[in-house]
Amino acid sequence: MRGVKGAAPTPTFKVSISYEDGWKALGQLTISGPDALAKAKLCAEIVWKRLEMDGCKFSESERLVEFVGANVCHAGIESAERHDPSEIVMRLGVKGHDKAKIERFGYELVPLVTSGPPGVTGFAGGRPHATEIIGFWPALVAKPRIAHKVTVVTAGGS
Amino acid sequence: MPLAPLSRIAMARSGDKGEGSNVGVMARSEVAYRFLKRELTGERVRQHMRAINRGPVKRYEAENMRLLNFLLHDSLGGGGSASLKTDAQGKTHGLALLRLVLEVPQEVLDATPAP
Repeated sequence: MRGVKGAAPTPTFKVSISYEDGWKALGQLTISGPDALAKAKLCAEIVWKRLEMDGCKFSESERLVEFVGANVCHAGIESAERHDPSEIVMRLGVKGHDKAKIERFGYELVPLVTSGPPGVTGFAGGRPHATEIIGFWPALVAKPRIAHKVTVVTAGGS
Repeated sequence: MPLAPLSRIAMARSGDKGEGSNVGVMARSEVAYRFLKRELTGERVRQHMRAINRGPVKRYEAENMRLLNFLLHDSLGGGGSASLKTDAQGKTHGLALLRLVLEVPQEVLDATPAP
């Protein structure tokens, strides 16, 4: 092998630093029409006002309201394309008894962001993980079939 | 002069760089690239994107790829995991820029195949 060129190592490393930077919470509701957007705006206002009444005031930079479907991504961008929805929220989900299969689903969203069509976004919170479904079966069972045991736990005691 | 959206003569792709986004614009022809180098200045992009980006815009050129690359310095509401925005990665910023309507000379349109 010949003709290979190189350079001295740089004096620095690229370091991906993670640090504690507070907390965040996000929630999502679907609000139907008629007057969906007006109602959604009112709902957001109610949330901020109720929080403020309870001593939790958030500044503009500490809070977020988006009305997805009513032009979130390109708000404020002048456009001639008024006929097309500004964005679409896609919700995908799976369920079943094979946990590995459910986990596998979670790996399929990020590739759409990194190597799918341009403009796919909204994925900063990590991939979906399998969470257990707690089933609910209200039933009447004959008393002799139920072995019962009561445990009382007191504060500071055992 | 005919009006045309940037998407008629260019493609774009974007993503996050810290608290800002990186918007790459690739011209669909050599003629379109020469036109865009002249018209699509950092200031023009800053004006168009001002509702999204609160910071300055810096333009870089990559001649061999017919590419203009724009760094929007404050466009992600804190960026990465600190952002509350739907588009925390600026993935839609390229498409937002492609909506820019320009006065494009007919000879540039003629020399540039439509998408």
